Amino acid sequence: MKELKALVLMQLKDKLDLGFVKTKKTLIRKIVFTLLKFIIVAAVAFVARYLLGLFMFYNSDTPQIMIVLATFLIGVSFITCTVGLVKSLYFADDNKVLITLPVENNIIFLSKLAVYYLYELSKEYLLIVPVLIGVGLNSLNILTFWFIPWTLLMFLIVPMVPVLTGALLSIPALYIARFAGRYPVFKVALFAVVAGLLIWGLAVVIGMLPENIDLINQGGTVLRTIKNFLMKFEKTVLPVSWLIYLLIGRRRADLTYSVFSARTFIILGGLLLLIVLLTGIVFLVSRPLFFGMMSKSFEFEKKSIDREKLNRKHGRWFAFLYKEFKLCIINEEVSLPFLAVYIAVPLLIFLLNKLYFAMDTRLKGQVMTYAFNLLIMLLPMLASNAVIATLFSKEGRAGYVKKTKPINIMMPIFAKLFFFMVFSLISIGVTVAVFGSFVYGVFKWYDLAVLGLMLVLFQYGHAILSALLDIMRPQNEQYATVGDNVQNPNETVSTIAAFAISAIVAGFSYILFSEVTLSTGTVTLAVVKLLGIAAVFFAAALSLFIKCVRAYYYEK
Amino acid sequence: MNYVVSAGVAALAATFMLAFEGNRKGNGERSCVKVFSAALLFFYFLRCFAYDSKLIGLTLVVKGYSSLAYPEAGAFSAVTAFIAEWFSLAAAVAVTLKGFFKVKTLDRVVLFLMPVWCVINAVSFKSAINISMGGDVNKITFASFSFAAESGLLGYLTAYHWYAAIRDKDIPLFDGWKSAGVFAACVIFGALSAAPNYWCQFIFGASVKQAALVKSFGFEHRLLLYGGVLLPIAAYFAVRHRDEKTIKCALLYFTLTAMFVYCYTQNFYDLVHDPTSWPLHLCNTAMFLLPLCLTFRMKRLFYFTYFINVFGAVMAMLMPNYNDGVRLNSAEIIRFWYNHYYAFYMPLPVVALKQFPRPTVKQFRYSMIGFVIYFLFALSMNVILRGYGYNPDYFFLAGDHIVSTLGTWAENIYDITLGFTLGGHAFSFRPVYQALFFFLYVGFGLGMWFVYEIGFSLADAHGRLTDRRKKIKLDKFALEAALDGRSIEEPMNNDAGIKLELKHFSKKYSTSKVYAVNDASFEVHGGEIFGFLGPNGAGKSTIIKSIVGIQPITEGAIEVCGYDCEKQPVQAKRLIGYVPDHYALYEKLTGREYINYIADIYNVSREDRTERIERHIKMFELQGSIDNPIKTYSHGMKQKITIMAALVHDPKLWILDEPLTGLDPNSIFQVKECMRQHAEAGNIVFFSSHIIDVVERICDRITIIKKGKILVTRDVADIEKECPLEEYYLKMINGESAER
Amino acid sequence: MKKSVILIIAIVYLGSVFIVGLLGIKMGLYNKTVYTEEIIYIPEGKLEATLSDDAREVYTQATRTGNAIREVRYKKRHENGFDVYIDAIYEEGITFELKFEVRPDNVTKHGFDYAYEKDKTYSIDPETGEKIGGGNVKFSVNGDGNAVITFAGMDKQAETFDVQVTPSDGANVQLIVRINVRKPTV
Repeated sequence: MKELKALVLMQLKDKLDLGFVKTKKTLIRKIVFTLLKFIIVAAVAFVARYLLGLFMFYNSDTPQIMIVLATFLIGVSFITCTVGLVKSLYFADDNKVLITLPVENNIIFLSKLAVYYLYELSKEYLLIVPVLIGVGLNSLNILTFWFIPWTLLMFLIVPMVPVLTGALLSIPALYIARFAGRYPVFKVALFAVVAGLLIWGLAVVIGMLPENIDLINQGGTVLRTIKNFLMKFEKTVLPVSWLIYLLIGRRRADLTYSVFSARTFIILGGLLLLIVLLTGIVFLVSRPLFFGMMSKSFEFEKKSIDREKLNRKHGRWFAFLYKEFKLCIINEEVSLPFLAVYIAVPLLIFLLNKLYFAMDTRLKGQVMTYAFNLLIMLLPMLASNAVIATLFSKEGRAGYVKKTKPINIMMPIFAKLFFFMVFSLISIGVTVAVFGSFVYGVFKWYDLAVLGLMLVLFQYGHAILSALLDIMRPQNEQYATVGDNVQNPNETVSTIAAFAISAIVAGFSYILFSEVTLSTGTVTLAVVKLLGIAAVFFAAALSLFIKCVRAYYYEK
Repeated sequence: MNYVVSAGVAALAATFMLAFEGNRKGNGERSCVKVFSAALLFFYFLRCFAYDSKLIGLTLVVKGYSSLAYPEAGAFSAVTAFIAEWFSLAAAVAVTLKGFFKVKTLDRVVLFLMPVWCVINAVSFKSAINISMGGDVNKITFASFSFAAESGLLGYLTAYHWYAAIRDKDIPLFDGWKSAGVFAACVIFGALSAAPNYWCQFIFGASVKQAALVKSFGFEHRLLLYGGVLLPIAAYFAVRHRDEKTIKCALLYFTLTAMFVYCYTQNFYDLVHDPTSWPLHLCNTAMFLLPLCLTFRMKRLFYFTYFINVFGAVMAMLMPNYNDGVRLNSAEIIRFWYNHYYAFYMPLPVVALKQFPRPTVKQFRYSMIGFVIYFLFALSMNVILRGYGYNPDYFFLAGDHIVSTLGTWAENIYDITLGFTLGGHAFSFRPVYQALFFFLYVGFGLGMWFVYEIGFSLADAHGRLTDRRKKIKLDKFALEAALDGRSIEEPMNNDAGIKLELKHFSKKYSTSKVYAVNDASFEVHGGEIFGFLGPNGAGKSTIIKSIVGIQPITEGAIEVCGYDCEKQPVQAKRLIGYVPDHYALYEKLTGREYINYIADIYNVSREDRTERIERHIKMFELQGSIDNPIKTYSHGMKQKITIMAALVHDPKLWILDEPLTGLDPNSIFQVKECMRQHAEAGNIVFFSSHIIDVVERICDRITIIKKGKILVTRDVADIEKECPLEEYYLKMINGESAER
Repeated sequence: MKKSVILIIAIVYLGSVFIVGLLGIKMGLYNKTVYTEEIIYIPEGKLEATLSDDAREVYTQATRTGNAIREVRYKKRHENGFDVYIDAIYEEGITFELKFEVRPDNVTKHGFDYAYEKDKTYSIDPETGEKIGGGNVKFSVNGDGNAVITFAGMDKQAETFDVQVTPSDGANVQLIVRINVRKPTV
């Protein structure tokens, strides 16, 4: 037990940053901030449920809403636990150290599960629990107050289910990951198929939206459909429904809920039984395989080469591009998030405009739709540039060694930005085309071209500024020592700038579109003015970037 | 009669001046000029407050849309009166400033333009008195007397300045087109600054149907907005590199003309009889405070304006208190926007142009105290004067303008009153509204402090960047001078051969006050394996990183084969191969891909790289792993890849920083062999290590460094004659005397 | 991208739809009053069967004790004078919450008026807390506008309670709900 405790504490310190327990002051501050986070999430959930209650749902619908939310959140929890446990059990860096310690492998396995359980517990107490409590607080006249402490208590054991399930599912997940790692073609093909299906499916679903949406007049019908769906959903996701009944209790004849009823304890018994069952399976199946599969992660297969690879000579620019391609684009940790954004933005715009054009908007409403379109086009794309604000530092010490090479430093820097610029250009093109398909009567092809160019300039300008942030405040040493889990302040600044720029552009576009639609009736002048602003921004960003890099790069 | 006054004043001034004429070297003449210049402005001040111009509210006959309100005077007389009013201000301020500042452009304005103006003034003298002042040129009134005295002094001073310029042979002729352009720009800007508020209305009309309404934003608004924003910014950039007295003169001209332009609708009569006309609004006070502060260097008052007025002006511009039906070019609108934009904008360039230093927290505190005093004063004046039947609204503390803009909720707060009666007069406060007003204003003042801090840090960053770029430019010129017409690809020192030379190299990190390396000098020649020894933190890595270009050099110079590492970094780096103490590889690339990537950077031909790569693969026994990802390599293999990458371009100078750490004996042997072969080929091997045995066996010469200072540079063979290297090293490190 | 950033973008996205939906929609050129044409009873329980003859739809739900509450909705008014029939086994404090909707959805004035058999009801004096009225049924309208009927006791083996629902806009439609509560057979 002592060994287990020591192992758990050691790993917890690494995973959860327990530095706050050092002094009373930091401990109190941590507790206060955690409570604050809890209260804020609960408050947001409360307000959201209250607003829904004004338009849509009765008090008595609260349990069904809780079921939907719990299904989503716990469902996500299952996925994240599986993925997280694959990494934690088999690929964690500390495995190399743990495996050398004089403790049984079972204890190591237990300690890893315990650490993950505590981590999952902390996440659920900051998300699922406050959301359920916040939603439930709206209906305290039918739920009793006791559901709150009971929920807090039950969620001490609920996270065990996703964690244990994740431990079980981690085995097949690991095999799939290994297979994909061995055959990259499979990985790429799988990704392409899944992504393609997802995009196609979403496009079809969005296309099914009615041409005419009148929330105010058709509200009743829409509500009825949603409520029928909720009823069917409650029947379908029985385990989650039972979980919610565990938390809120059984409905009495007087339509209130009683937490401490026989059914509650039956469900609790079932939950405990499930946990025991899962624990047993995990111990019988996962635990014996753990050591073998963990240590296999340290082995590398040497590829047999059929013929000698030739040493090819390339130009400098191509050499940098090829390196970036291999380091960033093929590296799914870097490429997937920003590619996902570039794929998502056109879909978001498609859905947004489907909704907008199903509404019967007046002139002011149309102008608002243009402004919001620009906001939604820019916001995710600029926010995804935050990864650029970490790219240079992520090279770690290799970034310093670049300074020893006889090159114009702009070359490797722009090579890093190249692929982002290419993909964002394609994404913006598709997005503007999607937008244009809805507004073609008002926006001519040249208006759309200018709009696209404007978006490109803002995107590139912000990307350059994000790169500049990372170059001027490099975090190479942190990445070199800690790895990828650095809290990079440049990311935060880049994200804030993204929000600010998007908001300002949306504001300007609203004013400019309002002006032109009232006076000239065409939007060309407005988009040209926006292009002017974008050009000034881009020129300023590029100029500042070049000046700062030339002046300071070798000093940083 | 007024002509007589004018001539009399001029004669009086001349008489005084004659008394000091002989005393040119003393201060008497200069003091006289200053006194008369100040008197000129004083007379203008008196005139300004003596009457409200009768031209306000008038409009010229413009395309038949409106008619002149003075039809009996005729358009010509009205125009001359208008010009007289406009340019008399510019003239008075320019000539006044001439008495105190020696600035070439000002000299040109006074000498070349003032005589013309004096003539125009003489011609328009009658219509100025008759039309603007509503008087009679043959009768003396207070206003006409001031005007006459002013005209007389103006004429005299202009003549005097010409006389002095001829006497001292100091006529400021134009140097070229640039000075003529500066002169023209100053004249235009100076004229615009002195334009009376009603100029737009006078010329274009404020009541015609085509004049734009102030509340409907259109082309005219845009024009004024862009001009109003861009002109001051352009003016700032135009003066910021000038000398201090030119900047001060320009600022004083602008602030004085702005003050007097504001005073066009102020007069002594109203000030005495109508308290509501007192310029006690913050933005009104700014018109007087700024020229006062600039003239008498009143710091605290200036910072009061800086923190309090600026924000107040912004609020006023956001909530303008004029009617919706007013036309854009009416005097009222021009006056409002000019006054408030001035109050908002002017304090900023005054600090940016270094007339006052950047404020500190202390000044902020004083300005808050000043604000409290002003607030209480304005509040009391409102209450007292309202009790006596007047209707002032100083600082909007008494009226409902702000609350009616904000809405019903604000009006409800405003309606809460607290009053008392004293001596038959009812005095009332609006405690909640006024208290909220005060605290919000203080809060926003604090916010302004943070905004300024951000602005200052941006300005500082910009300043640092500018300085750095200047230094880079100067370095480039120095390099070109040193190369003396040769190409930058040629070494600065042509005779160096294969040599590494440190010349009094010193390095101080920006975060430290202490030198990490102090005055290090040594040479290493081709064919040598040079050992670099020293304890941890001695400065070995600092020197190495400065040679290879990771860090800049603070003092001294480093040359690699004649190329200066600071001035010809690209050329020097081509000759260097560097093996760092921690391998820094791209682990997702294969070994071969990484080495080819490095070879591409160094532009190594395909044949050369193939030969070198294959040779090293064989030497380091990497045949089975060269085409696998680097992340699969052991520590030793990664180190070998780093070495191979450092040698792929066959560098003249090969620097290795602790290369043998963590290697097995076989690998150590391979690396040492590599080093020997590279040195035997005539190249330099610069080798830093803690392993004395290896250094002893392999190095030809060594240098020992401790606490940033080179202790000794000697041949290993020489040292070994005295004692083993290890013993020698320990002696050196532990403080015995060094031989260089 | 961090989760918090994704969340904020999602909120902005949803907000943009709502803002346009609330502020950007065309107002009606003239306010035409739309009257209620039909009142629909919203069943509480789950669907069990749709009977083909007489086009009846039957819903049931279970109480705490496991007894089913049967709700039958008739497309045409039953000959006994009701449109909805709710049948349940009595438990102390058994409560029914009746939910209704109007058709069409864009009725100008929403809301319901309820008429019921007052002699069967009782109410509680808010000041004294005493029971007023001789009946066993408590009728109230809750915050959601739904009728809430609670049976505090049973004098007979079976009790019925009728509620007539009419729309607040005065349209000439009504719906009659009959609740039939029976004591359990021993």
